[in-house]
Amino acid sequence: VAEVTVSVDGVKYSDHVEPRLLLVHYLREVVGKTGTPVGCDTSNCGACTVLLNGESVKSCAVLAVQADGAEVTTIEGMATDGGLHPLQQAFHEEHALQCGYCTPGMIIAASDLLRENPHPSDEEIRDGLEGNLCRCTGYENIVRAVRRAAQAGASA
Amino acid sequence: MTAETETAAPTAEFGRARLRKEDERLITGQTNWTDNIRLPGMLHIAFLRSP
Repeated sequence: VAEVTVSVDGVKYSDHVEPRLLLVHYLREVVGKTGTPVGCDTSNCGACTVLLNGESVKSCAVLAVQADGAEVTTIEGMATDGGLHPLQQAFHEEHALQCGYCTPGMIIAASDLLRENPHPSDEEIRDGLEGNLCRCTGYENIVRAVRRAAQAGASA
Repeated sequence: MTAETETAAPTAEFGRARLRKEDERLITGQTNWTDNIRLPGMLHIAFLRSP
């Protein structure tokens, strides 16, 4: 058993965990942040993507102990008192989701993409989100939403 | 026969995009997926089938 101290969406948590516990299960079952879904459990789909010290990671491919001392941002931490994150707003306005299961990962991955590249081309958006799968075939509108959020200054 | 096609002027419903009402919980991580549900004494089942 190992002790981890992780800041999740701005709140600090200290827990004893098994060294084999995956970050996504730590977030969902220990911290209670069920906004991050488990999609495939095999790091294919990207639904469980979170920010680890600002960089997007698939949280099913990270151990909880690897996040010790880190800051984690999940989809639940994207909106602020000022309202929805520009990406959340843009996903809504561009109809970039149907069932919504891939959406947390899409939004988190897109936020990392815009941090690295504030004004990506459509091709760069598709490249940047290639690790995130949407089975409702919503890619066209997802690209549109990321473009809209970029124009709204989502990288700031 | 001549087919006439006209685009009707938008009315309150037709010809307008509608924003979805269910998005807020989906884009903020507040959806209660069945995978989130924990009930007292809940059991799990798994099927192992031969290939």
